[in-house]
Amino acid sequence: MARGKQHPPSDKPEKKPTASSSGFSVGPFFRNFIIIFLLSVIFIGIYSLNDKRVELPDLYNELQTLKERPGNHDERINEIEHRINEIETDTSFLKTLFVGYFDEIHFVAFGVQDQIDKVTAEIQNGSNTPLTREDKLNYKVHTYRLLDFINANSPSNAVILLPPTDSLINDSRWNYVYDPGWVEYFIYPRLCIETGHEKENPELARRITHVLIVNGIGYDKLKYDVPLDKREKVCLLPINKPVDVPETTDTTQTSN
Amino acid sequence: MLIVGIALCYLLGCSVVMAVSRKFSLAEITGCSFLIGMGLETVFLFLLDIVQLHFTSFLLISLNLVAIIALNRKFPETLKVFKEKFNDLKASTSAINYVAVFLFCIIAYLFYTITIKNLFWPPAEGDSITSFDKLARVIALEGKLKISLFQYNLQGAAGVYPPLFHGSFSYVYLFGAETPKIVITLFFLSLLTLFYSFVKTYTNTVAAMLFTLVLMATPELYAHAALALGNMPTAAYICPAVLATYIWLDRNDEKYFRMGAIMMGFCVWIRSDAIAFVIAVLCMILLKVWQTKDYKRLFIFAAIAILPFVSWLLYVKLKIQLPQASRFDLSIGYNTYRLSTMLNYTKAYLFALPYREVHGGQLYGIVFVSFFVALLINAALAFKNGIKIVFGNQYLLLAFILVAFGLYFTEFYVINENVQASTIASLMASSFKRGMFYFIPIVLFYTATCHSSKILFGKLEKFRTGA
Repeated sequence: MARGKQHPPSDKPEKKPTASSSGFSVGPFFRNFIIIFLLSVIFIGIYSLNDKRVELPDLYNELQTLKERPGNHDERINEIEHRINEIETDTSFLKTLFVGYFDEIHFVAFGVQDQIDKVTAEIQNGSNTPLTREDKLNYKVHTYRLLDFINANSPSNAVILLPPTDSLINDSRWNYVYDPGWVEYFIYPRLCIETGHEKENPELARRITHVLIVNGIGYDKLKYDVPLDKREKVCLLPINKPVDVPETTDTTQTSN
Repeated sequence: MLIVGIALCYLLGCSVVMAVSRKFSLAEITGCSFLIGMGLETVFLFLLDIVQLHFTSFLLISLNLVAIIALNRKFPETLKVFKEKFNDLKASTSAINYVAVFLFCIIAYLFYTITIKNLFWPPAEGDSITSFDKLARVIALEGKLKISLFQYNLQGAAGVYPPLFHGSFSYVYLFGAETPKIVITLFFLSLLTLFYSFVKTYTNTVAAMLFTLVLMATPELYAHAALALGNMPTAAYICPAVLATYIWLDRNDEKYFRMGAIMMGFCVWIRSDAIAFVIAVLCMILLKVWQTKDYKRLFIFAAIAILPFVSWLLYVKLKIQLPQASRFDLSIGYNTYRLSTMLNYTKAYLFALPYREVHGGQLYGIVFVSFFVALLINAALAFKNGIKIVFGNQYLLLAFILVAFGLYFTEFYVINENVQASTIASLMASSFKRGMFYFIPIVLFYTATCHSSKILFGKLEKFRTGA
């Protein structure tokens, strides 16, 4: 009943509004500020839950450097491994629930520009030329120079015989140069076929023009003999007897 | 030239959205424009391929212009509507919501950083090199969908996928792009914009912003906003398809029926196995029309949603004619090892637990855990206040999640390991994991708009405004 009752105008002076003429109100502003403050505390709390992970990239880098460097660094290696283990195995439910957020904020949101600058400087190597798609692919795909070498040394209608998978699958330096589906992306419009799969694609097998030799594998596929002392470990050779000396590449040294 | 291509894509999509209804919000128009526009660009590619016309940017510009002009016969009216919408936006933002602005700044910063990363690197992911980007580049070069690589089985696994995803890459290549990853950024932007606007339909701006931040910050999804892979873009279509259909059923708003049906059609135009989501959405509609007996709507929806699926199936069978072993082994029966492996992975993903090489918490953060917590709280509230008050029409959404997840799980259970050349454990740790993206916007939408969240955010809003 009282809800619907109309109140008479009060004689009391009206409470002074806190709003200014522009509509800005101090009360709501502070209330907003409190919520923003609380949200910030929550976000920072979530971030700090896993802040030890900041050390991980440096620890892993140092560990790799020490393992590659000659000399006895066992004490430091043990120390680093212990610290990495300490951080990686700190897996309470709450921490692991937020670890993905930490990685994305710290390493991507805060770190992406630095990473890009670092990669750019590394690729440019002192020069100031803008990076191309090829430069970036060369950085990402460690066999890119070999694939580029195929393009530079074969006609656009070439059909390349790739080494068999089982000969290279355990050597990560040559990852995927045996996979026609993968290699095709880099060498199109040239075509390719994997050794051992010729029967599945007889038309393509008939058209093979070149053999990709990797780790010295593939010389038996050539229709001519290459003297043992002239056999390169990595090269692209025409399947039929060439007129010139075989082309070779130094990709083994550039692959990382 | 690339800007022209993207602008045309937005204009085409916007024209379709305005033809569907002039009542959509600006956020809905922005989000849908790219998704519908890009979907239609790939339909153009498909039709040009059928009539054997080689794709060129000039041909696409002409087609776009014809379509845009045809759809904008009432252009002055459309302009007036936009003017009104902008005026409404100005009026609604006159009182600044500082909390929303704060959250928006975080979203904008995260979006900016992931975009920098995305645009810096060319596609270098295994699936992109062996399939998506390879197909896209060769399609743009050869000017047809059935490229020469099919002849030698060098097209990759995505060769038989519907063309929306790799077609969108081809589209930007045709307009001179050096790498196609701008498309990934725009798919991500559309997903966030649409999710925000759908959540905003049911709750206040702060809650909508906060949950949009949770969606975007989901670790695995955020990582995919910088990768040239198809799962995040598929999630960008599934989100509006399911949520618009739900809003139509809940509020009986016709415009969402149309949006839902169109988006559902594009879901199977980007990935054929999204047919599981079409079936789940049809079940959700059936639950509702069971009461209203309006079966006509169900059939219209089904026809629009399934037509692209059938068209692509026929194209693969009649034009591509690729001899394929079936992806599914329906004779598998009860396989204890497979089932337990799948259940262990699923448990890890849903309850943020570790299993073998994966950790659900690291991948999806609080998404699924918060969904289950919200579900439990609401179940408790339902005891006190009654099921109808607490759950309302949200039982439709929950039914969808249950059916869709059941079908998605079954799809993997019957998958043929030999044809996929992968073990079930490795499929669960890769494909299944990425497919969980499709559920993230839906479960977050439920968490954001459920009874308990509405109470919580209602109180927060009262405190914020001092009302």
